[in-house]
Amino acid sequence: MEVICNNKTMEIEVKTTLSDLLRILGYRNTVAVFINGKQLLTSQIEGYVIHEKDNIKIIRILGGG
Amino acid sequence: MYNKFPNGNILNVDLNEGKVSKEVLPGEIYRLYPGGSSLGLYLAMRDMKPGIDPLGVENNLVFSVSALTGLPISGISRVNVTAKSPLTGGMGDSQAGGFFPVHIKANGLDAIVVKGKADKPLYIFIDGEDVQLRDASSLWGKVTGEAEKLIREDLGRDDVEIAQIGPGGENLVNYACIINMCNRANGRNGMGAVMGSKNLKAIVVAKGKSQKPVDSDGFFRLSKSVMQRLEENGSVAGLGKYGTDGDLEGFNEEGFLPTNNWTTGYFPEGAKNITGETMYETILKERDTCYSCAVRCKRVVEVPGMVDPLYGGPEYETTATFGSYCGVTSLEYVSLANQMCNMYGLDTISCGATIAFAMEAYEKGLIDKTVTDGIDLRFGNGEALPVLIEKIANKEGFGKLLALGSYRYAQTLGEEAVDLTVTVKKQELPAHMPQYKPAVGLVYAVNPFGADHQSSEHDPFLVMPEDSMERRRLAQLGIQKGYEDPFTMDDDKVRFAWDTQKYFSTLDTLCLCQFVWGPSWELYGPDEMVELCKTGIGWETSLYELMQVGERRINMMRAFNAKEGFTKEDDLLPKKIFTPLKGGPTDGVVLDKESHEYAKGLYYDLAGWDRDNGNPTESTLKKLSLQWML
Repeated sequence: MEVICNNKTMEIEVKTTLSDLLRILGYRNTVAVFINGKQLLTSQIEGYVIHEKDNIKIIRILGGG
Repeated sequence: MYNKFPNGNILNVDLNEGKVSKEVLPGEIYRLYPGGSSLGLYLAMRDMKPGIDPLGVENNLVFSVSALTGLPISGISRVNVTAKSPLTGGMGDSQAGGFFPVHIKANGLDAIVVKGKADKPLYIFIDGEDVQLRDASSLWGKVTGEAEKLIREDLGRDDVEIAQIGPGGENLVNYACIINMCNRANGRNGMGAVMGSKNLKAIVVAKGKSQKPVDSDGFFRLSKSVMQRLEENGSVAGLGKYGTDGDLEGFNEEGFLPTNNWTTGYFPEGAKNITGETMYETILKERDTCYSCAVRCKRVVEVPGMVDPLYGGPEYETTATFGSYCGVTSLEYVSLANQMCNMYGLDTISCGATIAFAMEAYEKGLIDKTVTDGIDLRFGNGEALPVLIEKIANKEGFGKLLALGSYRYAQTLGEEAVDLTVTVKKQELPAHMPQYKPAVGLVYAVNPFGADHQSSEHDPFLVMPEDSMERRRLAQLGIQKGYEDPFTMDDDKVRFAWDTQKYFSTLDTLCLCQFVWGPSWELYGPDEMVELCKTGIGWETSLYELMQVGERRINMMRAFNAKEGFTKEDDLLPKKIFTPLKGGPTDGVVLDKESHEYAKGLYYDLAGWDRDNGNPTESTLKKLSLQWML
């Protein structure tokens, strides 16, 4: 199915979870995720099943060091 | 025992007279300046006049730890060095980890105050009540690894920790640093040059026993939770595995990795080579640690025949300044540059950034090979790094110019060159871009000792979900507003900058590691810092008092700088930050000057500083018990 992730259209399998997607895209667990303009809580990210046409924004958190 | 603050034990060393004496700082005063940078400032400034030469005999040099140092818990072994800075001309300080800090405390000391100048090179050896000023003539000119070995031979013992300068400090390079364990640096502000100006090669402390907590049950509840915390905290676990350099490739992908002297934020040809993951997979020999710390973020790298593990491994700032700033794609040359800075005692940030500035000046035709001693200084020339570092440390040829630091060297070349520098208060910027992190950029500008990336929390954590650990901890400081991106600057962001700056200032006072005790993503949070003070030393404190401790420190530095003639005109970000970046995903991006200037004005209001001159008002100093600084 088709979704938009960080302004790019991509194909993913049906029933893909957000955790799966983050893993596929190589993100670590320190990210912020917005689905269709609404931010998910940390507690919601693990089990969220992505829907067709979802507009997903993933922001990598880069801190100090 | 509770609510009684311990006295501070101070060792005064007068190098003019060759005498040492002990002083007890009463608990009620020590509580106002409970260690680290605050204690260092109090002890350095109480008899220091404005206008003195930072490299003259009247500058005071203070090594300080805190009332907490030496407790057996992660992130607690930091030493602060304070003096007037030869780089900025204002009050300077710098922190380092390792094992040296805890053994200062183990010798019964909270601070060592060094005054005057010895008539020949010497080092200070401290073994409990036995304090010796020993001849260091044969150590002068030696690199750190060699000097460590000779000091151990001279003392006939191995159970010592050593903080020392290299040739860079001896030769008064403006950004010379102080090195302990051959690989931990009090890097910034040129504290090594101040030490060199006193003919002081090293401070050596005998190893001793750690401090026992007052409330052992409560304390061990905190300390024993560390492994579970590491398991649950991916950020800190990642820091341990990949080091501070673990995020470098992420910065590049976002277009915010300072590259080619900050002309672009994108380094596609080199980022992958120099990131922490590549280091982990290729040249990492082992992960090292500081006293009692479970994080083990310190790198030890080895390149046979080229890079010796004795000198540790590069942090993110070092891979950025010698890597992307200079357009150098070789992790081996970056690691060699790191090693040479640790051997010769130079701050890797200022050193790499100054070379990057010279590279841009060379490419723009402002200097040529007649100036550079024949060296081809185009971006990307990794082979030039070790040659230049040695020249800088020895102030030889072109190195004598680079030893001034980028801003002072640029001034000798003219306005066009000054516009290429990336400094605040003449100190080179670390590798976090204000265009991406405007609150960090604000603190870069107003920070009393120049641009510093470890003086406040970074903007992106406010993009985390509101139920995340990071946001819940920040809420303990009253910071509740979240953002959809890191770039926004508004009134709440200014408060975030000011409040977290106070918090980080507290950490630099208590000598706590910012990766372990910070206010958001770190191993422990604000509430636990309070708990540490209570259970560790019986200090019945509160977050309110601790934040005020941090605020007091910032104001002490600003008040000193005001007497030196500093005003808000010194709180300026470099022109480059307002010049569009070139190429990559951030092509054309700038920091919005209008919102930055607005934020600065609001920041002065929040800090209780005069909007007209940027300096602390009389009432602000009195509020913080700093009337003695008026």
